[in-house]
Amino acid sequence: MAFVCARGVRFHVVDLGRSVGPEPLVMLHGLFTGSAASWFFTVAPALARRRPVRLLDWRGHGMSERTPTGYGTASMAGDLAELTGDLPPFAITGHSYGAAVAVRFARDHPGRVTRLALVDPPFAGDPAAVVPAVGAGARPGTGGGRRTAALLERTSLLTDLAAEPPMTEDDLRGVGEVPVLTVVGAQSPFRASGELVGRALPASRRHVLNGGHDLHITARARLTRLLTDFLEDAHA
Amino acid sequence: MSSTAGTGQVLTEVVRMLVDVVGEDFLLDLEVGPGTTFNEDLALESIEFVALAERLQGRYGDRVDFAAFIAGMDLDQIMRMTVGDLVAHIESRLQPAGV
Repeated sequence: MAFVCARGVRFHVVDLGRSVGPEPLVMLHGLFTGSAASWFFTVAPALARRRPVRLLDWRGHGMSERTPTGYGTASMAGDLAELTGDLPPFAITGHSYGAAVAVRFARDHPGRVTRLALVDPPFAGDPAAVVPAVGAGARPGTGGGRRTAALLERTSLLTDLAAEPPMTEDDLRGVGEVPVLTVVGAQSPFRASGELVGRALPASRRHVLNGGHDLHITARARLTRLLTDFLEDAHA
Repeated sequence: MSSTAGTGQVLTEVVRMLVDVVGEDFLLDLEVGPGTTFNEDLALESIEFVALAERLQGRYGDRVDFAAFIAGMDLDQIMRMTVGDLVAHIESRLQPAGV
């Protein structure tokens, strides 16, 4: 099992697929119930047939260490920089808050990101719609339920989220010339994020898939196809 | 399907890796066999399943590619997977090629 110590925190990182080939893909999960498993059991194996794929557990998630603070996008983009320092420039697929961190990272580290796929990003709409109620873990008593409860009750995560300024068109334009794909769920509370990205980056690709916020689960096959096409184009 | 010494060995190794992942206390009360399901019987968390896959990779190397194994499954099939399904897959990959 791969554990990496970065910025004083123990992170869990999973490498899949070929060690050679086109540029790597780094896949970033969303908050709370998300983890490397979000991608591992959905679209990552298919994408890993053609390229190296790196999955990670954000701090406080999956098997990475829970820290009291450090859940803002600036901090987590710093985590990402450390956890990808050994990679050549790479593509990113980010779900939900993972997409927000991805945009932040691309702006902070020009030249490191080759492609950016944003899966139901929470740039517009009400984030409260996907925040679990305190004490309402999906499976109380399980590790996942306990982890989510601890994140909500014993870390600054919710405070950090509330302090996070809303994503603006200028922020999005800050990613520069990096090709961007945005996929939103037709029934997602964040559906309007696609339009925000469209206004900021008119040349970007945008798709609406039937489904809610967790498109990697409910629209797995279609999302896999969109991501595959987007990544393959990079090498046309 | 005939049972061989190899079958028992892979099963034993998989159970040992499961113990490493979820802890001995949890598995003490459970008799893990080929029919045991990861999801319903073991209540294995998805991230624990990833950890198991990493241990398989560490033990068997690239011959057993768990990600490739599940790439062709739908999510329901993954949810229903048994210890025996996984053991059978490992054994099929460990057999000499071309036989």
